[in-house]
Amino acid sequence: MTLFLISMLIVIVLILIEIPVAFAFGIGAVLFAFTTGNNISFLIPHGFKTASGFALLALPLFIFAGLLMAEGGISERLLNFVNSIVGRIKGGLGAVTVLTCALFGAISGSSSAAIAAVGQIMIPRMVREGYPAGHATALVACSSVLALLIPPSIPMIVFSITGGVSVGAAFLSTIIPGILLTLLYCGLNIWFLRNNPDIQVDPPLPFKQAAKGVVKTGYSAAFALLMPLIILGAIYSGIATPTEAAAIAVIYAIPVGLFIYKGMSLSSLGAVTIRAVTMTGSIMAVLFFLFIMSRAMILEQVPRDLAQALLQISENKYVILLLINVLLLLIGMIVDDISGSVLAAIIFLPIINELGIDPIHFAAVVGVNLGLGNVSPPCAPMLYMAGGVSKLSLDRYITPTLKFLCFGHLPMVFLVTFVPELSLFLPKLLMGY
Amino acid sequence: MQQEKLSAPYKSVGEAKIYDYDPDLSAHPIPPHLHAIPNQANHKVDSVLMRFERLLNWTFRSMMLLAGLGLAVLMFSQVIMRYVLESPFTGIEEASILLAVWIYFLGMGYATREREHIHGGIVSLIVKDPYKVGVIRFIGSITCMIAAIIFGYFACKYALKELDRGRLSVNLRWPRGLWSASMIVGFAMMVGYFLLETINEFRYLRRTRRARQSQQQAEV
Amino acid sequence: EELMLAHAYPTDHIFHLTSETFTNQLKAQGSTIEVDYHPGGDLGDWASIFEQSMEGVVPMTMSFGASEYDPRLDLSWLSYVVDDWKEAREVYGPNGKMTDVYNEILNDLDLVVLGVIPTGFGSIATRKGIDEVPTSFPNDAQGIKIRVPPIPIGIERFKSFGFTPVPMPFSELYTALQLGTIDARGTAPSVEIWQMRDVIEAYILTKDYFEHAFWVVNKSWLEELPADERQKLLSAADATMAKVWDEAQAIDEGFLNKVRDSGVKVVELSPEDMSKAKKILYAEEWPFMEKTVGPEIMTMMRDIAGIK
Ligand code: NA
Ligand code: NA
Repeated sequence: MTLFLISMLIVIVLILIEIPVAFAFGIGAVLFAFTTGNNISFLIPHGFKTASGFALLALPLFIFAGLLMAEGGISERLLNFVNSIVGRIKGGLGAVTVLTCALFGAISGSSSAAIAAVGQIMIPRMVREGYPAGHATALVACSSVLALLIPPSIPMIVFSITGGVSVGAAFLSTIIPGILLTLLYCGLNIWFLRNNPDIQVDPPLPFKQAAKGVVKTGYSAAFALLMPLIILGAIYSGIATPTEAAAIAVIYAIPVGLFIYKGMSLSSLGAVTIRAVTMTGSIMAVLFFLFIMSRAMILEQVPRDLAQALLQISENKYVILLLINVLLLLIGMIVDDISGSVLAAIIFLPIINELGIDPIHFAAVVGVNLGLGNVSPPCAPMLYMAGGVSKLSLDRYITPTLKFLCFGHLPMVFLVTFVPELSLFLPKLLMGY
Repeated sequence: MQQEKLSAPYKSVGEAKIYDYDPDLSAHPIPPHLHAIPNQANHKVDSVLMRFERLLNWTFRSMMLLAGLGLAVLMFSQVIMRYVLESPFTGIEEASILLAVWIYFLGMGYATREREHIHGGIVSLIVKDPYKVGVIRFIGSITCMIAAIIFGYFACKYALKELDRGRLSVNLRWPRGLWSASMIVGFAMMVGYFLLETINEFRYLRRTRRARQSQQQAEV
Repeated sequence: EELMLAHAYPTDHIFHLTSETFTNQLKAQGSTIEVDYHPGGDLGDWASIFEQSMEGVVPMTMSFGASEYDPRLDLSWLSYVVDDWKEAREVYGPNGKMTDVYNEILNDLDLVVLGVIPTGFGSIATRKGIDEVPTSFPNDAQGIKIRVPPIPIGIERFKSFGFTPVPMPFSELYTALQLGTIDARGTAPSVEIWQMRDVIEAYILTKDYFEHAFWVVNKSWLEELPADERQKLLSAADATMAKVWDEAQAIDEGFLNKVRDSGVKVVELSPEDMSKAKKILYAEEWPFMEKTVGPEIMTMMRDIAGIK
């Protein structure tokens, strides 16, 4: 356990002195595995094998689609349209960001894809309208984990199958918490910005004129508006899997950007492609080394030992639930969300069954906790990714992030833990669970 | 569709650089980062090396272009083949992952060249002296280079073993080495570009120290 | 001595039962080997852990035939070799012919087969909302998009059955069934139908192959063990295999009953439809397999299946 703490400390120090997050994880992982006497020869191959899984394939495609939308003028028109509707409400753009993240996470099932696609469009736009850059970054990072709560979500599938519970019920269990969290973030965004004089808000217009604006921007955004419709339509009608839908989005965005909105030339198409590959590379580097760190921790059975140590503290059902929350948060901090779901199912589900807690309720607890772990430092891949998109160093967005987490996600964790009805209502209603 | 004037100054996404000081986004300037490739050559050797790097870079960029566009086209055609031709392509998973791993590792290497790896950090806010910032960044670059060498060693060991055993993929029956070679290339790029970055930073430190010394002498 | 045993399946899977039985048997034999057990795939998916066993990183695992490492392992997917559990035990069970065949293949990969673990007969399932129940092939299967695992023989089999095969990774399968990207899935034993029961309409018992896995240990690791410890390990393995085969059928049928109780329509093939299905695959899939594994093995397989 000492070695574990030392390794984590090294990772934090390395991150603080601006060593790329990916390499900080990698160095910490190799040091930890080496000093604990584990076989380090398969660490890198494990990272390679996990990274070359099909599940991650949506990431490069959604990043590509997002950049093409930005370059070709599609996002600009979409945002102008949205702005004509909510632009006159202070904090309206932030609320749009949260809702877009939720919607995007819903379809792609991936937090990183949501940051890639939504963050790179919304953060610059928010900054341009006077939002503090740190606030904008934190908002995108925190709402990206809604992807985990609103189905489909790959970590929830992994948890359900590993834990032998119904995937459908587990999906349904996180919907209400997901919607509540979406609304909570919308509200917090407006609340945090209430006294900020920099936010530009257009003066209110008479209804007729406002409606005219909506129609006008909507008309010029017709091809842009088709894009989310195509993505959502293709997925929900079953024409394409989310990964294929991302490819459809790319193939659609190229001619629209080149010939219809003319925001892009052939040479800038090349530059955008290279940019997309580079951005994918910098994100995959973090995931690659995070997989390696996960493995180093799991080889040494760190998550299991942590659990056993903490669970000896009490026998009270609610104390144990609280402790499991703390542990899930810790696990979310040190491993990736897929490994986290496997570990949650293997380590905690037996305890949960013994305590007489509903496994579907627990699925929701796991979902909200792993989501929190993804954005809570030190190992907060989604947080750093948002920072990468907004070009900010950690100190600039850490405070707003902690504010969002303390007033938004953390209370939601407790709510889900201690109010089982939140997670069980939909499974009971729709599946007679 | 009418061509309307967009509301804000417009910068191409392809040229946007992450982690470089951007007055549009950030109010307080930080010391600019040094990249792996210097802006201009200082010696004759430099310019030869830089020309060689330009050739390499052209190759990497072409491969990135092919892999990126190729993946989109491949996944798209899978949908078409399923619905229009009703004949799926057996190797779709293998082929798409082949392109994906090349995207990942070329991207990692190129991100090193462009200094675009995701990083946190507060050095430039706590430490105000640009020379000390330079020292810390130099230590960082050298650490990354050594780490990349170690990771690269294990990556090569694994990839070469796959090549050596002549393992074939299940569906396409292509050598597995095609996949794992992406790792060799990616780590080679990372080691190389971290090395160049280290050299660049070392030179910057030497220049700064000399400048300070001569300034001190002038004051005496 | 520590022995790392890892597999990629949940704790209701037969691999978990096998692992626990083995750990207990090892203790009963008085062995000093400590088992460091990793279920659920926390060290990688099944193909990855299989490779780690070849490398000796994770000395022991339970895994399916990863034909990436030897194409002859495709043999484990071959259709209609056995008809029922009794035959399955004779062919694949302890002292059955197949353990030796597999040992010969896996020895080249530095692995020793401790036993063949049965998971049950694999069949077809349709998604919720699909009314057709294909039982007579190839006529009933026309136009039905079926997910097959991305291996050559999977596509060959369901094409011969008349389906439109869609190769798709396991990670996308659940959502694809839910949203209708595909209409059906193949190669499913009852345990996997139980996992996906929420999106399944009908489970059609084509029983087109007998799914089984390999319990392997790294050969070099095993040979380095002291002789008495090795002997204890092998005896523990034999005792485990006997118990697992005793219980496997009941576990498989248990899942089938749970599937039935959860409202999934379970459909048996009529004898005529079944013999038609077999005839198709013997004519199309078996020659296809012969190209991979060679005539010698296939002659033996024809012998086992009782076809000329
Ligand atoms: Na989702
Ligand atoms: Na975290």
